[in-house]
Amino acid sequence: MLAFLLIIALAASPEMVTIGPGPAVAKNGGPVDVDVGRFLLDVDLVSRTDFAAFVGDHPLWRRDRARALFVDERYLADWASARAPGEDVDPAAPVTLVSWFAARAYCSAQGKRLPTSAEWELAAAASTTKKDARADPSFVAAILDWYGRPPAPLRANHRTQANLWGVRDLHGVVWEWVEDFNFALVKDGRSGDGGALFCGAGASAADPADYAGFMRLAFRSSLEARFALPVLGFRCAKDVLP
Amino acid sequence: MIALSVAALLALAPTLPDDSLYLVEDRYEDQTGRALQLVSFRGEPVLLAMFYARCPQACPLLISEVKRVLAALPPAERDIVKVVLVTLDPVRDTPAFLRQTMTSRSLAPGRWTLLRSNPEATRTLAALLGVRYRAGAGGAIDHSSQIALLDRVGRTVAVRGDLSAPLESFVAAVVDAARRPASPTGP
Repeated sequence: MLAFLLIIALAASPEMVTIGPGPAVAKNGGPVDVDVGRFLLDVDLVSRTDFAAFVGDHPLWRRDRARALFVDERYLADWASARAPGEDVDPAAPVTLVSWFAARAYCSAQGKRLPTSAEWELAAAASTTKKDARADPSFVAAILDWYGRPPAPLRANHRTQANLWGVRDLHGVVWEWVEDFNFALVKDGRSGDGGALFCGAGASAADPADYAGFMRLAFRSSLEARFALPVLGFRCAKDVLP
Repeated sequence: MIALSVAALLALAPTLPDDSLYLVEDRYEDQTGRALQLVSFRGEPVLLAMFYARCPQACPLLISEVKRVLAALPPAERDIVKVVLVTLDPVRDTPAFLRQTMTSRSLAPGRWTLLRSNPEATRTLAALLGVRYRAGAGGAIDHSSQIALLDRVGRTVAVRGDLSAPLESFVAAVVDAARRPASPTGP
């Protein structure tokens, strides 16, 4: 049984690469940059085909059966049916319209987990030539240019060249879920939270020079775990075995 | 590893509503070290909040706020309502430390339960409740404070997120949850 599951996991598992050590990055938008260490990250975003295989194996994550506790009503709403993405969309394109719970369940089923925000930021700080390109004007401009553009229809991955770590599409395709998205505290963040008490300082202190990073922090802080959004996908990570 | 076992969801499927927090089957332990799941609180209305025992300011305020809600309830309803506080600091808030907190804050064991789980399950619950938190300086945890009211089958029926807002509507929701008969699909 275990061997069988292992074979399934390997078959469904996209290639992973080792990330790190690399530049210190802001942890959860916190005031102190941290060293992340080494970890494994999927080269590619999870595709609709990948997710359809998961849904086939775990029918409770089909859109017609998933619990309202874990997904909102937009969950996989662009699929032709509860089982498959259908003909009208590119099946190799990244899956979107998935909640944090669904993304987490997918990664767990592969023996993986979602990356933390710090891990994701470390991987995403790299350009094709530098581990830390956050001060590289053309690198930053390309990211901000994408943030400013309206979403385009999603097509297959691999549209961007792999970065120095070997990871593709960290920028320019979709936003990505991270395990600790709800660690992001932006002062006076969510509407309706105006009077919420914060135990401790509360405010975020993302580096204002890293404007793209701040945009991502603000985006994460606007999310709720049940949200399924057309521009939000994910990839999985894994610990490096000691 | 993941919170949701398919088997458990299937087993619970006929009886719990789709949006019940009690569908989460992570393991918790209370201040006495007893292992339990959130569904253990099924059957009574529950005031549920997240906190951590070493919190210097907001958490004592949160606990005072829960006490204020309880004090505002008519005695019959007050007797029914349970309070569950789940720590955001599951590594340091051991059952022994939670028990000590119960004593130092005068929390009656019959009504109050202090819980901890593992870090992953803690993130799950925070995500479900919309609690945002982050490790801050010196072991502090920055977190948003809110009190969720769960009905007898674990649905969130009211949230007190703005602790400075008038108490009346939240108290009315608690009274309503306490007076509402147990769901026909309930225990």
